[in-house]
Amino acid sequence: MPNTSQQQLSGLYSDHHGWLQRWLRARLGDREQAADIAQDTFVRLLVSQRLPSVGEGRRFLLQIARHLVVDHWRRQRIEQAYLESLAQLPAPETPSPETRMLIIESLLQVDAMLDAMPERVRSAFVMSQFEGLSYAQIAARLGVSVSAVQKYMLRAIGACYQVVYGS
Amino acid sequence: MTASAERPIAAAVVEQASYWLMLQWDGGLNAEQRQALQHWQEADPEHRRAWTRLQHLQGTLQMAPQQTVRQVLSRRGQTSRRELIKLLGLALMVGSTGYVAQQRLPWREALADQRTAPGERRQLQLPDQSLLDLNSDSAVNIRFDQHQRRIQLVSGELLLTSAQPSVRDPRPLLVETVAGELEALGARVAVRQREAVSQLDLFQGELDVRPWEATPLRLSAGSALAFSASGPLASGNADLRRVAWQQGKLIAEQQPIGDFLAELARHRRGVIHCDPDVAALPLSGVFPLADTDRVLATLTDVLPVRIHYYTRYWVRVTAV
Repeated sequence: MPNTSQQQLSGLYSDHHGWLQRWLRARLGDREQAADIAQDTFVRLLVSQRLPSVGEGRRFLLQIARHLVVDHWRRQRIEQAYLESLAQLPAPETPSPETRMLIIESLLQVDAMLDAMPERVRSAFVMSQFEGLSYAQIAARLGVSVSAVQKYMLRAIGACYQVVYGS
Repeated sequence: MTASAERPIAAAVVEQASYWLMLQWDGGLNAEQRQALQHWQEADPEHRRAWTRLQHLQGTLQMAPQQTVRQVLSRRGQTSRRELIKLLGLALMVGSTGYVAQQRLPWREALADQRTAPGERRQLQLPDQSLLDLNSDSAVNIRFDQHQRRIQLVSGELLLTSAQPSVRDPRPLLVETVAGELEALGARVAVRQREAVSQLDLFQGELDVRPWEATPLRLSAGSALAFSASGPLASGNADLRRVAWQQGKLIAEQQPIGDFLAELARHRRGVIHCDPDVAALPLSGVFPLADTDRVLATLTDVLPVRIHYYTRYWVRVTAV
């Protein structure tokens, strides 16, 4: 990175780091997590190699930070749900920490996949994959034809593919 | 991620592979189809690569425990969660105790996290004597400290009645939503959250509205406003009918029943599906929320509709 943009970045840092961290703390209620995410925000900015134009800094940083907070919440929410469902299992069935990590990763991916689907596609997908319904049963529930369900499922697979492999 | 670093596969090939997977998901392939898939894979290394990717994708889906997926689904953003409750119907209801339970989230220094289940409404008295009514299927965090009295509306709808000004409290009374922050000045205000939009009805007092990314504005009693983080979207007059839920009622005035049923669905578990043919029929009346089944039954008296109960939680409204 050329010298000027380095100066620009450190300028951004000193101008914005303070309020950004306060903004994050108000949202997260946790000093350390706020500090971490503030740090991540600037790292993202650095990695993206795209510096905001003058006067756009605040907006730009907020955009990145908000994204990171949502990711953070999403992870928390998923971990929490998973831990709660684990608590309902008898002790011998509790998976190892490594397995848990894998499962949480897979849950994050599934969550992102669901996000990438339009409403009806998502409902058909969930019924098929997580409720074990046949396409005929899904068709009856949604009040559509089986071939419409097939189309939904193709779109669902497309959305999943997009999440894992990009376009 | 290694997956995305790999060379992309032509969209047409991915589509063909997806078609096979789609067929496989509906009860597996028969012998003939299996053989055809085999031939297809052997025809081109790219075919095989696409199929391997989809197998991998399926592995991810299988790795995710069903029970947890349902719990995760139940906690998605408020609107999508409500949609999913409707869409999932029974399945979610079976495992529903999990999401009614309060979320104990470690990163919030919450004085109290309050959440209402579908069909439940609650009134809370806050430490400063303000009153907070929560509508069905809503969640708030309440954080009072030495500098502020802050209520975060996580999802759903609230009605805040500020403490009488005689109760002197120098700390600002704030409501935080996805769209911005409100400061209540002796206000009685209803706030509801719909995706990225917050809607306000101000019945008393004044309210400073500070969208996250736009100029603040002040609202006076009797006005209504919808706004997002980037500023106001629509304004109008405050309407007490919109807070009839606080009295346990739902008021319709020439309202299309499709909209009415969507509102009613917020107050009960499960799904209400309204056929498009009848969704536009206008409905007027005052309906008690205490017994939503009875409300549904009443509809058949006043409109040419029929109510089908597939299960207790799966209701469909159609033309007679």
